[in-house]
Amino acid sequence: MVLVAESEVVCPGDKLGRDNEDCVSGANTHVYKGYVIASTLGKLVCEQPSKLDFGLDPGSTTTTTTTTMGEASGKRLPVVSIRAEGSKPGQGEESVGALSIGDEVLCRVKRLNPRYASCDISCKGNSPLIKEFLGIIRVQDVRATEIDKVSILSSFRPGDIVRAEVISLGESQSLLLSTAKDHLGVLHAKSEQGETMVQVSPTEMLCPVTKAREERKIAQ
Amino acid sequence: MQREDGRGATECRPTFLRKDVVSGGATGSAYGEFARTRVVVSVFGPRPKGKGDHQQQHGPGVDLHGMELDCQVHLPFEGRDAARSGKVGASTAREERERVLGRQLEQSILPSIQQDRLPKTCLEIQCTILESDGNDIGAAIVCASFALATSGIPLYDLVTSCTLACVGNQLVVDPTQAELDESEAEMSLAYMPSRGQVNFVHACGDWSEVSFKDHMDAGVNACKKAHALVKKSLVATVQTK
Repeated sequence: MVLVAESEVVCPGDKLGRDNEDCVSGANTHVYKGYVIASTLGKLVCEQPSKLDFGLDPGSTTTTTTTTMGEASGKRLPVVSIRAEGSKPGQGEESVGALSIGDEVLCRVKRLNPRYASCDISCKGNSPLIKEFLGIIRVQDVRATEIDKVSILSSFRPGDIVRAEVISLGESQSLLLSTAKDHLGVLHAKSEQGETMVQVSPTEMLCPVTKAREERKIAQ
Repeated sequence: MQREDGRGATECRPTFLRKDVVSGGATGSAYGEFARTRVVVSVFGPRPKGKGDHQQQHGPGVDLHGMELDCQVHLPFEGRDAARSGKVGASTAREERERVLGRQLEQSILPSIQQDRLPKTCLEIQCTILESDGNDIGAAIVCASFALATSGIPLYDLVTSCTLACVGNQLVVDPTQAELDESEAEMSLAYMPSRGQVNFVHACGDWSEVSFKDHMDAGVNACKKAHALVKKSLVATVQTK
């Protein structure tokens, strides 16, 4: 039994229910001394894991951990999460932008170097960050195959918009990013003439005005 | 004992909290009024941790991925009259007090933030005490916690605070400056009510005649009362939207 009614406003520190007995902890909640506790101000969302989740491949659902815990007791427990005020359902569950490992980000390439490309990270998923974070894409993280043949200069150019994944929080200032997946890489690039280029092959982009070809690690 | 403003001995001053009072880049902000103690708190960030932040925290054993909290307290009006009359050391005394309050605020607020969810970031709390009539640190703590909650920063709990004073063996909760001046001992504490955790205690004066424990319990009780008020204000900010 969840202690707080659905869509009631809760404050940080409010008890929502016993962990793994009444409910399981969802977004913007944490567990303390066996209780699920609210972490942010907002309205309570109580979701019963739908039957649809069963049919899906376990690897593809983000709620894998929570559903398996519920299954152990035979009955599925509701997932309690808190929707911050102002945010719409299904969009940006966390309003405050802090990056963690595994997040997909959008960044703009700032400068190149034979060993890495420096970028400004401006979006986490689809929601903009309050302040831009620094990130670097090292030459060995540009693509998954033939990593010893990669050249940074033929993968990115300054000004390119790149979709990348955070692989480490790094040691000093910069976060480490990777584009070693098919759907990661350059999304938008401009040619030397300032025209938006179009993709013509898996690794090449064409300037529509000068017909010049430039190499990129393009997101597929 | 009759108090000047007609309150009971364990009664706090009326509290008024309002959010989003500072524009221009603040993630969240709040204005707090506790009778004649008035504060404005703004929260900036989380922004990427810069090179210049918190030099003194660097060294062995410092977590590079950790979060930093930068608390600044400003007392723009304190000691203004003294400085005007040309008193020596008025501005240094004010700066020292700003530093002490900043440290106390940081100590009280930091345990309530989920630092592991904000790796490699810096959070900045700017607190301006517009008017002080006793218990300015308590006002700053409550207002800062309120501002953090409205800015959506992941927290473990709200922090409330209260100050107690002993005036002639009589316990007085939330004293005014006049009451503080004639008290023998005072104590401030910050408390997380849902967790039952005391984040910060500051006591000074003569405690030989009175029980420290009793005062601590009275302080915790006052914090619990304040928690209900803060919660009510927070819920109201969501519902009026």
